[in-house]
Amino acid sequence: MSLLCGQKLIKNYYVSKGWWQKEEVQAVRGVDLDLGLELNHLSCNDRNNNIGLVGESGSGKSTLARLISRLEKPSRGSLHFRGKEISNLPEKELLFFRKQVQIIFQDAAASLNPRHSVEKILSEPVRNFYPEFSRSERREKIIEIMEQVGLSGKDYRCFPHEFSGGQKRRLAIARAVIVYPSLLICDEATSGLDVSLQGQLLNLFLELGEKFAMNYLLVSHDLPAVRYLCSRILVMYAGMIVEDFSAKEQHSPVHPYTRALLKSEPSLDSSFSPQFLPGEPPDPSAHPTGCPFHPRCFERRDICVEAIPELKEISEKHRVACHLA
Amino acid sequence: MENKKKTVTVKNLTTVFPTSRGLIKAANEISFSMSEGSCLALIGESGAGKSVTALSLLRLVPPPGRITGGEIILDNQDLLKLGSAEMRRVRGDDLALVFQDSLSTFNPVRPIGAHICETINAHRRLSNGEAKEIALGKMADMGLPAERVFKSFPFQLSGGMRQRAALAMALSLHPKLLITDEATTSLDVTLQAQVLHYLKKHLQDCCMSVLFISHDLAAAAAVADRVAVIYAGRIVESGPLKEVFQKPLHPYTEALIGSHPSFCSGTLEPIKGSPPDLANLSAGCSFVSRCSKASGICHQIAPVLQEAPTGHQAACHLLIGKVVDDGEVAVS
Repeated sequence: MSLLCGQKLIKNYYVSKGWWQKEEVQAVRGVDLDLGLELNHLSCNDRNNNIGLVGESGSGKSTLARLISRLEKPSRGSLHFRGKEISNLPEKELLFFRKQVQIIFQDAAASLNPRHSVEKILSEPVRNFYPEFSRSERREKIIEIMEQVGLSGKDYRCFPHEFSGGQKRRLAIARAVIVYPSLLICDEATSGLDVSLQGQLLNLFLELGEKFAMNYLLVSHDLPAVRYLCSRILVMYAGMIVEDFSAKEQHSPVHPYTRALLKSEPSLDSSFSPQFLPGEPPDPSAHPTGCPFHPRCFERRDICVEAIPELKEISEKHRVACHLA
Repeated sequence: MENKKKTVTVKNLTTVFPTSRGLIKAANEISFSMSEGSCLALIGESGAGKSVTALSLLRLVPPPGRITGGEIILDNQDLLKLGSAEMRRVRGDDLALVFQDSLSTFNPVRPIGAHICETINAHRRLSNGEAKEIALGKMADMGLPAERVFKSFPFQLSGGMRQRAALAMALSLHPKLLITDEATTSLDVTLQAQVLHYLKKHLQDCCMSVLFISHDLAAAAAVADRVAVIYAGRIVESGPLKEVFQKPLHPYTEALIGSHPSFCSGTLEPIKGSPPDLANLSAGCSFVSRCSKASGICHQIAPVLQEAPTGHQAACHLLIGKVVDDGEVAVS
């Protein structure tokens, strides 16, 4: 049974547009998603089950991450966790799901309460999910998890401002993994960091994944990081998944957007000249008809303007939403 | 490359910040020179002194920080000897700076065009129409729909367009030296490629130099022809892009390349530890605590930049041994 599975997930937001007018912004437009990563402790081998979700800013990848972590309710569509429908469950009944699926955000400093000590920050999830723990057991657990993410266990009385940027990220990771989730969603968790710090965090992710039998959904626009950590890559464009392929099996991407995305990535090769997509990412309040990518696509045909392509399987573990595939 | 005119020469530039914990040398004897039409990438971790170097070049170091020594020679004049009014004329005209955060570069309540025209009018006696024409031309060079962007407010543009508009503003008066301080860092890959493409195109068309400051090695590789690696306020390695990235001489450069996911296959080997406290530097090499090859001498004496005949320089005690071992370059 798959761990987490979404069908036709749709999320619309409404923004006010002057007096009495509301504009609909379609952030996620009908995503079918099967994370399919139920694993037991024995079969877990490092990065084989991690999934990367890439796309430009505004493509809806963060919204999708918030939907599948149930921080937001989908406007339409269903979400199943181990076969149980969770898209409409009230918060109180979601505790079992929260224990299994945790999320960390880009800005670690902003997600830690500056007036709480590390002990207080880390004891909140323990209180929630292990109410039977005594105070000393909680502290033991906190010290243990701090050491596993590479912090000194003695620092549990410190406050977030006493840590460096990289240590704050580790603290945010510690708070998420202290309940041993099976899926950790990382929303741009390594973006905007120095390379050495980013490398340290990516290796920490791999190490913790192995230790706790935990998988990642890495939401990022940083392709090298995604390729390093993940075996399966989902590409999002304008609220839809346009390609779903395995990075390990040397699938060459088929969708014109994915190819353009890979080409625009700078490399060390000095003959490289950055190629880029013409035009701008689409406005989420006015999506073009047909294929969302057609205004920027070099291989556009008539059908692309008329019909939205479906995500179809073209070979094993490779799905593409393109009329030309 | 050698016979081209040197636009900028920086010699032993030192900028210090007095703090309660002592004097911090944020830029420590920085020296480099750039010729016309070249692009130098200054790379390093946060806190290494990249931005302080950029601000020092423009003499915009925020107090209590001050430049204590060195020379910045642009067009045969030492910028450090200019008066503040003369310096104001140089800024924006011969020297231009593009920041990382394009949203705060622009005043949110004024259209983009007004910003560019203001820059032009501050330095040239031109009519509004002529200034507008220059602004539109520069924006078209950057691949922007000029007429629309001219009237747009900053929030109406995407991050990539805004950054290109900032670039158009910086380039509007044909500066001799353009400094881009992490100008593409916060952008998506596709938008970053756009900005890099136009920057590179402009560099080839006009005779100017670009100091490309970034912590992203890959972005630097896409535009620069020379690289300087900065660590704890000092340049530890500099040389032609290919040489530095393919045969790094300094262990820090090597480690930096090894910790980048797009350059290494297999497991990443990030640099352990964190950058040193600048208020509390040891007498020896500043990288010694994180260096895997450190020996006795590294703890005692700070290494100086040594030149190899290839035009490749590094500040490392192990360089001499390494050069002899490889048998490729000999220290002159």
